[in-house]
Amino acid sequence: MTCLEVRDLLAEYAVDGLEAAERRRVEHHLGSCPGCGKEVEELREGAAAVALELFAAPPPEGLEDKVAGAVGHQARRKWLRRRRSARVLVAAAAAAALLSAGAIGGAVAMRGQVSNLKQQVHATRISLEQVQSIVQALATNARVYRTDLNPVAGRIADQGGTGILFTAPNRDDWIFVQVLVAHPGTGPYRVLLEQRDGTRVEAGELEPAGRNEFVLFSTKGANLFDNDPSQVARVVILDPAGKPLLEGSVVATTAPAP
Amino acid sequence: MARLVAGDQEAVRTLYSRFGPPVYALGLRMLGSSQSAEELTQDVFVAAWRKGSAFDASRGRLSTWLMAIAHNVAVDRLRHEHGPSRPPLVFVGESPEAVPVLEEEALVGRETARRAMLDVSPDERRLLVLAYLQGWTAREIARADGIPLGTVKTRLRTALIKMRAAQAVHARTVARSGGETE
Repeated sequence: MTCLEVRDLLAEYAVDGLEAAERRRVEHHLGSCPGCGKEVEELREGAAAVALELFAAPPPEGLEDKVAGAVGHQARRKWLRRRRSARVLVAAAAAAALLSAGAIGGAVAMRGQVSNLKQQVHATRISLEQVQSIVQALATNARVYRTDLNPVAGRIADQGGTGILFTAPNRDDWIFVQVLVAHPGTGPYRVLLEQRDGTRVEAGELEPAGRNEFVLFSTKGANLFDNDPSQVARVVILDPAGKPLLEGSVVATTAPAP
Repeated sequence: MARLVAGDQEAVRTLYSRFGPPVYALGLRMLGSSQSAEELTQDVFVAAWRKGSAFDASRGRLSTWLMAIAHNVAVDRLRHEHGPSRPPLVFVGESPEAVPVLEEEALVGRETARRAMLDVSPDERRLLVLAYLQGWTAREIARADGIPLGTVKTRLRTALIKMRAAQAVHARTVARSGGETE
C-alpha cells in the first residue's frame, strides 16, 4: 500500500473501524513508515480524548483488586511456563547428548574400536562435555559443576562415568549422572552426594540405559545441594550391595566463550 | 512500565488509579452492562501488561496507548457479542453523571477531554459517538446518513484532529491553572 492509500484509511484505523484484512495491511505499512505512524498517533490522541471524556459512573469497589489479581495471575502463569520450558530445554539437551553418545559409541563400534569399558567411558565423557556446553549456553547465570567417576580401590578397573550438577537462580537444581559398570548386578545403583562437612545426601537411583549403562536425571535438586553445589565435594556411586563402586571429585566448569 | 511488565502489583494499581475509571466508563458506554465493563477492564490491564514492553514513550502518550488497547478490546467484544445489532446508542452527556473519586491527574485529563468535546460541532460529536463509541464502520454511517463514504472519512478525520487540537489547548490551560495532564 502507498502512503496515500494508507492515509485514506487512518481515521477509520484510529477508531478500530477497519475489517481485519484491511487492518493488517495498514499495520504492515505502519511498521515501516514513520510518517504515517506519526499521523495515526495524532488521530489516536483525538480518539482517546473521546474516551477520557467519559466518566459516566465510578468503577465498582473491588475492581482494582480484580485487575491486580488478573495481572498477577497471568504473570505467575508466564513465569511457570518459562520455568517449564527451561526444564524441557535442559532435558532435551541431555537427551540430545545421550543420543549423540549412542551415535559416537555406535560409530566407534562400527570401526571395531570398542574393545573395553574404558573407551565407552571416554565416549560418555565427551558426550557429557557437549551437554555441559549446551546447558551453559541455554542458561545464563547458571553454574555447572562436573565430576569424572572412577573405580574406588579394589573394584574392577575401566569402569567409570561422568556427572554434571546444575544450579541457577529461580530454577530447580538438578544432577545428571551416566555410568558404565563391568558386571551389572540386579538391584539399584545409588548416587550419593558427599558434602565438604562429610555428610551424605542421596540423589537417587540410577536407571538401566543399556547393557552396562545406567543414568540418573534428578530434578528434585532443590533439596540436593541447596543452590550451592560448591559444597558438594564428591559424588559416590554405591553398588546394589550398598558398597562404594565409583567416586569422583566435583569441580566447577567455566562458561563457554560467547 | 518495566515494573508493570514484571507483574509488580503496585505498578498495576498505580496504572489503574489513573486509567481504571476511563477504561471502565468506556466499557460501560460501549458494551452496555457493568459486568461487561468489569470484564473489559480486567482484559485491558492484562493486555497492557502483555504489551507493556512494546510501549514507546517517545512515540506517544501512555493515555493514548492504553485507551487504544481498551477501545480495540471493546470493539472486538462488541462485534463478537452483538454482531450487526449493537446496544442502543447513548449520546455523550445523556447518562446521569455520578462523580467518582479520582486521582488529580485523571481529573485533569478528564476535564481537558470534556472541554475538547464541547469544541467540536454537534455533527462531529455524533460522528465520533457512532464511530468510536458504537463501533459503526464508515460504510455503515454513510449508508445510514445517505452521504458518500469519502465524506464520512473526511469528517471523521477532521473531528479527530479537532479533538486532539482542542485537548492540547485545554491541557495547557488546565496545567496553567494548577495541574499537569501527563
